[in-house]
Amino acid sequence: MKLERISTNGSFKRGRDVQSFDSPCARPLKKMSPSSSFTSLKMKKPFKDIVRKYKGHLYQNNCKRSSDKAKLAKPDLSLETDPSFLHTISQTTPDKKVRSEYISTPEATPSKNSGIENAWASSRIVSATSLSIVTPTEIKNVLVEEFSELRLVQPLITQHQRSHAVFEIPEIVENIIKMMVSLESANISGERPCLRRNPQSYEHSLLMYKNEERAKKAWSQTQQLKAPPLIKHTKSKQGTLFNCMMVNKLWLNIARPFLFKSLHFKNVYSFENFLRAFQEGNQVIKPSHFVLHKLHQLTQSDIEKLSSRMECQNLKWLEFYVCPRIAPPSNWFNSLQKLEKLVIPGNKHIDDKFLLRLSQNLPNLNHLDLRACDNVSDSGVVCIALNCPKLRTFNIGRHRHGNIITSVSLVALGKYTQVQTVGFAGCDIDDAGIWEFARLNGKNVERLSLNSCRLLTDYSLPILFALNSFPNLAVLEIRNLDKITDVRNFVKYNLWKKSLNVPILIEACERITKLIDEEEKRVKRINSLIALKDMTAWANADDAMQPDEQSNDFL
Amino acid sequence: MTTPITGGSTSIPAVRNQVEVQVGLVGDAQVGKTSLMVKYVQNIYDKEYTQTLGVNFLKRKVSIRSTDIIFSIMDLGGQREFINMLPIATVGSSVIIFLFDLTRPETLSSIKEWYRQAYGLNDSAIPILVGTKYDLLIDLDPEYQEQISGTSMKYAQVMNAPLIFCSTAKSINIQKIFKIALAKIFNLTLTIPEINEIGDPLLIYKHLGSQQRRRQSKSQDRKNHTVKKPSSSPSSKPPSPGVNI
Repeated sequence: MKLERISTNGSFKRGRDVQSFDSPCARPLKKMSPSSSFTSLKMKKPFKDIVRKYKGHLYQNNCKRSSDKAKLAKPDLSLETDPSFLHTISQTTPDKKVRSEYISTPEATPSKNSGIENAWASSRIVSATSLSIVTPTEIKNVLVEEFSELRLVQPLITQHQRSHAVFEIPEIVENIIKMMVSLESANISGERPCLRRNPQSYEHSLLMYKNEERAKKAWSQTQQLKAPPLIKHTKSKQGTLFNCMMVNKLWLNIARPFLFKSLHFKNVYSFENFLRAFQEGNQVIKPSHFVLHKLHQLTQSDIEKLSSRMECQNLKWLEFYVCPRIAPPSNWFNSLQKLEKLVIPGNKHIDDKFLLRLSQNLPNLNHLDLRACDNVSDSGVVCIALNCPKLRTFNIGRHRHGNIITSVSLVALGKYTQVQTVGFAGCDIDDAGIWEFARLNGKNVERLSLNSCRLLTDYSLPILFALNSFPNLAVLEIRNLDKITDVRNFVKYNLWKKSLNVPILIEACERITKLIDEEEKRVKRINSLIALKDMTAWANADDAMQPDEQSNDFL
Repeated sequence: MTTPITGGSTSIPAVRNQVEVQVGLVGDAQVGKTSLMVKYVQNIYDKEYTQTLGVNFLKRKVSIRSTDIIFSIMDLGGQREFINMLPIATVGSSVIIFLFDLTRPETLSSIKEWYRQAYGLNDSAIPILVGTKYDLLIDLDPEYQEQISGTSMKYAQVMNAPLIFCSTAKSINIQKIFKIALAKIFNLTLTIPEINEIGDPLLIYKHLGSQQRRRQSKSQDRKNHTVKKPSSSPSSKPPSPGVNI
């Protein structure tokens, strides 16, 4: 009766309070949950949990007033009457499901907490007085008695719970976040750099690693890759920057600008979410990184939506990794002066005309990746070579349409740029092209990929190596070059480089690896025989006859 | 298989083979380990005695036609307190040179202990027994010379180690020690004549210390080693010049 009256009258919660205080001694047992049959001492823990549940829930709803009330329900644990009291409270909380979801909700930051506590101290008096108006005096007395035993539970702020003061200084936080962003941006690229190519068979793996265990491991990893990948739609975990934004307002404000500096999306959902949010606002963003990774469904219109309010003056890195349906919109072209890295592999839209228009605006381009852009031919590459003198990394490897990339491209690159990393896998370049390229630019080349260049024969690479035409080479990829049979110079070159402590990595197919391996063994055998012969001669020579003995040969 | 013109115009320099040999020097204090090492590496002989604290290390590179031979020499201080550093000089060494002072017979008898300890740490290294200060030995009583030569030959036999008498001061047999070491490691055939005459700087290596022989005779060696006591250590005849303990 009383309960109803009050709940219609005032707040629901107040009524609940009154109801329980109404009969503090004779509690209705049936209202207790099974767990409440514990002794009061044992109750302490579940009781605590309930308090947390309740509080957490209200806090999440941002219900200021009721959160104050929730504190009210946080009495000293010594209070015997309270467990059941709290149970009634917990049972009246509206949606159990929602409540349970918020069990793990973290408490407010310490500083906030103390503020709430103070606010509550005053509101408590208000509620107590307001209660006195509607309740009989005896209840009031009981209430006062009850409350006299209550005392505020101060939130326990131990020293290590409180964050260090440095994390409240904006300049320092900014530096932390800047550092973190710069570290993270190294990993933005959707593609993982590979240390070694995957072996083609177990025997090949064995030849590559010369160690059964490692060979097995590498081969099994390769086979796993071949299997169709499991399609995972789990929400990828949020980045560190996102977590930083969740710390507190200060961190949010400092981290937010960084978020727009570097945009990278690995799934369509997050990109669409971003796009939606972006369209609502009217902010103009000027990112320095823009990376899309395998967004197959994305269409050009999505990008157009973005392009209207995205300005590219600061763009340094533009990557559309296997996003076959989209190309950089043409209204960006004029503002790509700062662009250094352009990665658009696996793109059907890119063709010679596109490159012709684009290349005129890319004076600072350093890294261009056009793998599997099957519509690009020699003329496109020549445009790039002519207009991008700073180009250092260029890859146009492909499986199809290899015939439209010829030595013309290679020679143009050699003539007008100083490329260091060159990928021409699967292209129709020939011996003459390689010779010319080596003459023009051989000294700059560090990585050279010529896999499946079917026209290459023994008359180019082996001789070029003998002449040391690529003195700075570190990685050479020569897989599936059927016409290469003479590997002697590769071996000699590699042994020489090894002795200088700058070994080169030769990635070859099984056939060539085998040849190299055999040749290497042969060379080593011969060398050791020579060494033994020379050592015998030295050991048997007369001491006095050896000038080097007393000369400058000691280290 | 066609082999196109690749030969002549090669600009890849021929790769030099590199052979690295680690040599450990052990033996009692003041027998001349450091002197031997410094003499071999820097061709310097210093009469002053400097005690080695712990381990000395020097490298010498010998460049012959196609090959660089690098001797890394580890020299362990002979005092008892450095015995716990013995692994540095022995583990990883392919040759361990045991040195004793030809003028102090007690340094020869402690070779037993040195050998036992070193062998326990590295049983695949080739031992070489080296008697030092030969230049001082020749001034001593011929009877003593005969006695110490005979005893050391027995030791060499038991250890299956080439035996070399040398003098750092007078540059006798210094180079040969390391040549024999190299030859024994790689099983090279040496034609250097042996020196067997008592009184001469002994150089006995042909049938000692070869790898195959060592493998076979290892088990026997051990037995012999424990049984065979060095024939009554030469009496206190020699007025050894540098005796102080």
